[in-house]
Amino acid sequence: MNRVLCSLPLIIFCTSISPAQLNWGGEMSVYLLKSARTTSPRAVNNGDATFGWRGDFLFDAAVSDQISGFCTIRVLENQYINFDALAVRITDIASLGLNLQVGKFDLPFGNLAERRFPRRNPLYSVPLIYDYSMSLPNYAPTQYDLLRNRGLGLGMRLLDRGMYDVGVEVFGTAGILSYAVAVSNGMISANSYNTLNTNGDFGKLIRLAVTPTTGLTLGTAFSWGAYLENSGQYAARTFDPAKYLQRIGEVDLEFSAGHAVIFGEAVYSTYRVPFTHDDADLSVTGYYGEAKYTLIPRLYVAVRVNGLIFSKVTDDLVSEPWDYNVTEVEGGLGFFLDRDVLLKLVRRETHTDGGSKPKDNLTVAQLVVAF
Amino acid sequence: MPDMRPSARSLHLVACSLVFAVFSLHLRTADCQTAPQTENGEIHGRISGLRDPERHVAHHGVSLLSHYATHSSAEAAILVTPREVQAPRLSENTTVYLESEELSRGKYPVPETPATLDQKRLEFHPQVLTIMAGTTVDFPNRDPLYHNVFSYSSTKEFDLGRYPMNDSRSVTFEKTGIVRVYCDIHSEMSAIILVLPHPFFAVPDDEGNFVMRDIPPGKYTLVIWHGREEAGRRTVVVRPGEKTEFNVAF
Repeated sequence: MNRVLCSLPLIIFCTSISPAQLNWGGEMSVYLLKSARTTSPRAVNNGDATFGWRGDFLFDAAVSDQISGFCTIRVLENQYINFDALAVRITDIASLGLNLQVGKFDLPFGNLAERRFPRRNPLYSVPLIYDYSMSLPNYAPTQYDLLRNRGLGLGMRLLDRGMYDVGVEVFGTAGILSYAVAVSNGMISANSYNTLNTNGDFGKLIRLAVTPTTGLTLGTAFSWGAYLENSGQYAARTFDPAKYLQRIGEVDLEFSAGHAVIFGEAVYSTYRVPFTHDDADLSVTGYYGEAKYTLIPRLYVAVRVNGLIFSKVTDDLVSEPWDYNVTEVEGGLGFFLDRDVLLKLVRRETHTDGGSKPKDNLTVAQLVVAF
Repeated sequence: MPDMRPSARSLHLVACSLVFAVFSLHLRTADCQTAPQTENGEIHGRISGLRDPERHVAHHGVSLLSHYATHSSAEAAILVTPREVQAPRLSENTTVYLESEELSRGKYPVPETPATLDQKRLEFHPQVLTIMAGTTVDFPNRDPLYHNVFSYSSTKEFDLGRYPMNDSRSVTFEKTGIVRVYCDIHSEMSAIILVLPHPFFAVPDDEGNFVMRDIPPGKYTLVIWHGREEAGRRTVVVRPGEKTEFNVAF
């Protein structure tokens, strides 16, 4: 199914467009990182300074007045080439203002939008809820696995990075309201990045956002679906992975005026796991608030406050959070050497409620070139 | 001797009158050099054959980073609605101006009325704006969403911040040169402001016709600016009180 959906945009690209209709651009980013010497998932290169790079290439092509295709390719230092997005979009269907996209695209959940790219991200990291790997994997863990892996970053992310997945989305606007409904292969925490994305049910998403006045957008989204991997390892077990659902909801805010821009998001997710006797769900709450202020032309200051709070796993023997709670503050300065050349200096401080070394930090110098 | 006195007085008067007349003539000549009124010439020109310097790209709801802009309903309404695809008009992206050291040295009154650079349907209008140094430019927002106009050009560096529809900000451009203007939110929006030391410039109509008036007689370089770059230069001679026909074909 994935291959069929991904091939569709390519076929349309190759057969229908002329070079004049193709538009492209992208970003290159190089950075120098130095983190604290810890074993946490927030540490980089065991605490030794290291360089890194990434490239993002974006393409779009108009096939007709209403049909277009777009593609985002992300290349990382580890040589992986990710087709983040590859989709066909049909706009204004039957002149109803209704739009449809099919393929692999960013799921309509949250308000990360362009800030997933370094040029638009005022800091180095994406918010913790998009980035932090929890202890819960997408295969059925035992309670022992879950607690043993706390703070090690071996499981899923709450919102899996850019949340790109294969599916279909209908979206549109009606006055100050914008809406989106989507069905995707994977769930928000377990889509195509770090998982096999072979769960037994589709993820379902609904998003509504309202812009009551220019500069203020309030959004909410809800999603549900199976998140456990649907592989043969369950053959000997007595449960159906498709019945173990993730349910996740969020509210988000974007406000800007003058030289200030503020973003915020709060997420609550539950996971049904096989090991609990009374079908009690694991839950996690995540949040972030981010502010950016342009001090003078070229120079801005930005700060982000993040957090993840985990519910407790409770039975006769233990009553512990299923992962260590995390709070993180990231702040930095950005200076535009040119319109498309941005230099960032960022410092990140992370505190984990547990583990042998609960404090992490990261210092980053990042140079971004957009083209 | 008494008869001599009136004669001497008359001589003095004649001498003084001569000095005054010479001085007045000098002043008049100097006036003519800076702000000639009666001896000026005109250029009536036509530009043809200009090719669009930038490949025009249709916007059908997706354009690079705009892939991810659908979280704002107003933004989506503009981005997603198919826009009529047409080449930029000459009157929007072309200007002609004279270049000479003499003109640059002159003193000219700065226009009291501000120039305007509109932001409408995620584009600047016009895409090339020519002004005289000292002119104030208004940047009204005509879109139902924020724009954030800025420039990092050495001629004038500014960042107007975000402001909503029907609001405006102003910038006065004192220094001559090229100012490249962008929107921080919508990366495809761009315009150029050419800040000249004199008022001898004109914007052609969509057929390429232009008229430049009140030009001091002389030999000048006529610069044709199109889109984001200079398209060409021609030498033009303006004669006193004459209308110079000048066609530029590319």
